[in-house]
Amino acid sequence: METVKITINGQEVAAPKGELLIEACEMNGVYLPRFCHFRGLTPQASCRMCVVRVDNPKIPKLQTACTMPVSDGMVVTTDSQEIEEVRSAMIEFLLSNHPVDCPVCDRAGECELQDQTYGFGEDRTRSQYDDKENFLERQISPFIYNDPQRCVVCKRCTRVCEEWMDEFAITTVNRGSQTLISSFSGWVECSDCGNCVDVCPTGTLLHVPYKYVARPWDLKQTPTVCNFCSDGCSMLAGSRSEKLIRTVARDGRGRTAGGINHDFLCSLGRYTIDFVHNRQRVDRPMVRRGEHLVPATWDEALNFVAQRLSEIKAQNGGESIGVISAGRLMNEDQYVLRRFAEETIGTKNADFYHDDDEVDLAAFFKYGTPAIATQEHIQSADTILLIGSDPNEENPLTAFSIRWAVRQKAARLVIVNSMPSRLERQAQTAVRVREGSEPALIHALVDESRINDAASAMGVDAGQISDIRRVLVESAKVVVIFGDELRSAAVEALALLEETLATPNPEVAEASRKAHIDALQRAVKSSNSTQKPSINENPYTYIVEHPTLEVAAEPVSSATKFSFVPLVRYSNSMGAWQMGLDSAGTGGLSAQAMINAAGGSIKALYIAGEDVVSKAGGNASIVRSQLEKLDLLVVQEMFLTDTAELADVVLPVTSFAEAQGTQVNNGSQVQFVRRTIPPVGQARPDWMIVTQVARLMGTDFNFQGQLKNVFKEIAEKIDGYSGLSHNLLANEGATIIRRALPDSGRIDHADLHNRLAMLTAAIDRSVAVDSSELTAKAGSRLQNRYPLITRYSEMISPKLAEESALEAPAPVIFPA
Amino acid sequence: MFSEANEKKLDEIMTHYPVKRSAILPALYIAQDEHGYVTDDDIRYLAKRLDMRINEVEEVVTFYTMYSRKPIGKYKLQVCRTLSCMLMGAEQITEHISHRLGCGIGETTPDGKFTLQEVECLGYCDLAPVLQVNFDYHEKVTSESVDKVIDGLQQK
Repeated sequence: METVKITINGQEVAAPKGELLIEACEMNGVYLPRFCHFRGLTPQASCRMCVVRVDNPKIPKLQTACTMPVSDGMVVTTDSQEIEEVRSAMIEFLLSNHPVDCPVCDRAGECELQDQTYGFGEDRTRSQYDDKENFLERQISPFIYNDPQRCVVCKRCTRVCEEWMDEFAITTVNRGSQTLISSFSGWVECSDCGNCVDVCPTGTLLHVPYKYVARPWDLKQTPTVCNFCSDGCSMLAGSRSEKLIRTVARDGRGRTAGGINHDFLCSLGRYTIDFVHNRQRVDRPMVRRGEHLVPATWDEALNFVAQRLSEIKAQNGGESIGVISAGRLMNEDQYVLRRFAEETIGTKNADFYHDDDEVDLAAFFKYGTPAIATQEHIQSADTILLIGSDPNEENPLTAFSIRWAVRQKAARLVIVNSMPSRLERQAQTAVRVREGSEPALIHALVDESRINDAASAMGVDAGQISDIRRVLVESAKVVVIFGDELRSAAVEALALLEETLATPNPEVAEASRKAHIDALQRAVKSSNSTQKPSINENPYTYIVEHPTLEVAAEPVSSATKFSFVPLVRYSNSMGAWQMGLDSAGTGGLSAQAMINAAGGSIKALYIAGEDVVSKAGGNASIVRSQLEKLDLLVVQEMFLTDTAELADVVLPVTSFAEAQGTQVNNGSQVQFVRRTIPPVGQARPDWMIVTQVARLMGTDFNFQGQLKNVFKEIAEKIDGYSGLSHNLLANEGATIIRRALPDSGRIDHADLHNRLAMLTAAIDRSVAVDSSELTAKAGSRLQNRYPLITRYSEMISPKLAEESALEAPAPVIFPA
Repeated sequence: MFSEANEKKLDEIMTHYPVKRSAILPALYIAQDEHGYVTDDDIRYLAKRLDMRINEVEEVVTFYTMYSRKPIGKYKLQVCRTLSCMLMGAEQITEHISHRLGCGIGETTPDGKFTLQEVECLGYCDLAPVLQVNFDYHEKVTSESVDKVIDGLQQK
């Protein structure tokens, strides 16, 4: 990285070239006060708190450090009588309309206005109290309260909504002292990510669930990891009196702390956590007595399970017992379950529950482990190819990273999808294809001669496909993001991209990239605005002409040209695969096959954390009748789900907030999940229950009741985990699991091309291409994606049900 | 959405700018001409026509005092209240009009003829205090001259 020398308060220091002065100062230990500046947002320069004196006769006035890039030899004074006076005056202005209600404000204690008044303001004001503008506090969305009087109009929230989320759901209305954060209807229609609340420096925007609940200094803050989608956002869980109260992004408020998600969280990670304290949690073991499940002691329940499993094993052999786990269970749980299946029960039938909604991991890892892209890789990618799936609705952090790459790094986004996606607004090329025809794209990419055939299968122009192919060939680094739409041969063929789409030489890539940036800059100029250029008639794609915001970060890139993000469905689907708890690895029956064989070759099922009945959707009644045929059904669950209700024994387990462990996200990064609160009721961690059952059945795994011993064994036995430990992960944050790259020698090209051709031929060409506009409410698919948990969240569920019934509150207050 | 004449006007205005969204200010005047104020439907319609987001249009409408988001009187009396005008007695002028018409600041007379508003600097500091009636300026106003203006308008 190129650095320049600058002098801050008489001290010569180094700073990355092009970095903003405010960031350069902070890197060198000089904190400048600010409200509007926020890492990752475009400069605003409205609060004037970060003013500094730049020693240069051409710059006679004080300068805002948040808009000034550093240059070599710059001499800066950040602290002087003159600057102090300006800052104090700014604070006085901001406070002239601010109520002194800190004692009842939820932000007090982590309020930037409070801190900066304390640090840079005066203890008196010259403004008359009577002259304050009065605005009523009001709720502006199911999750957000707005107290306009506290606003300092830094516009962080509106910029977050626009730049990070691409939603533009909130905005400022009116002007001057009457400026409000509001929206067209006064009611905010958005995906409810809540990021606007988190970046607010004052108590203007507040989380509804956190209102009047706790003081920030009363909270015990535990760094942990989100348990919903496979992005695995790091978050800081705040608990008080053994109750989980809130979660915020771990990096929180623009500070860096090794999380993978900057300051980003989505509605699930933020607002669904109240399921942990839902009163419907199963808080003690339950055993079936006749018709009913009745509470039992742990000893009774465990002995019963061990005894019945042993009986069935003795009668029908180990193969008559199946073990099914959930993709959200942590590595340790999955590993212990696998040992339990292999050693205690002696069955190959062990699988983590996944159906057609899950990425075809068996195909993806068939020839080895392809380079997997992390969020950082996405953010610094040259070109991003998104096939199928809609990260915006399914993996919000991935969508955030894509937007970040397009916005900050001028990445080229190519989307090939059968359904509308909001990301199309950021795309350089967005191709809508027939439903189910996404595999044909891979066919066309690995075999140029098949472009025409593939294009007709997809229902698009062959020219569009060759364009995509050309862009990919000319790009230096490509991140391919794909979901469950690609299956079998199409996923396997991803391994061929590296050789078929190789860039002829670096100059080609460089020239192509330069042409792309030139085109963007021409668009910026022709639109007469440096702020909102029109790219592909798309006014919402931005390119910052001087991408100064992220220069401090070293560019991250993988060794190979292509890297992949499999958008797996659950928080630890990838981990379950790595632990080997997959029928493809064990060679036994898959979860569905086990259920189908229930009553036949399968006599007993041990299901950990998955509601297989609800999962079956339309086939729920079939699955239910299958499960009823079993001699024994053991379920480890948090709630009495449809599956648990059929069980002979229900064993209560801890939620992510009460358990420790490690989980692996879709970037193959393993992260340590800390215990935030003690277990609710008598709940125990999954791995512990399994270990106890195993001991009662005569196999001692020798973990001595210690989770770290489980991980120690994982580190010894599982490929890619060697050298890792809980301590290390707790300190290091997300760590990439590296495994052997695919061995192209093992690929049978002729066979693979044959199977690809069969896939393309099998596409139903009578289906119409969906060219509809995106109409569904943003975020709705996300919230419906994890019904097993979201339905137990009182915060989210009533909202889903009653959303349409909610009436907009009183309209916005307009000026006279 | 708009009358045929106004639609034509909008189409014509949009040709003046390289980017559609730039036509937002004149477009809003057309909407206001058509309906007396900028309605919710106007905002939705213009957002669609000019490739903007609804919130962006809302932002613009509420920022400028020449647009109104609720029904107003036929004549909008806007008294500048910024420094120069204030020092030259703008507050008394406002109070005088308020008494004369029997309506408060931001309110409309029952007959729907006048709306009284206080606005920020109108750029006529040298001729303070200034009263703006719709698009016309009245400089160096006094209680008497204001009365005359209102009398004249009432007779119209």
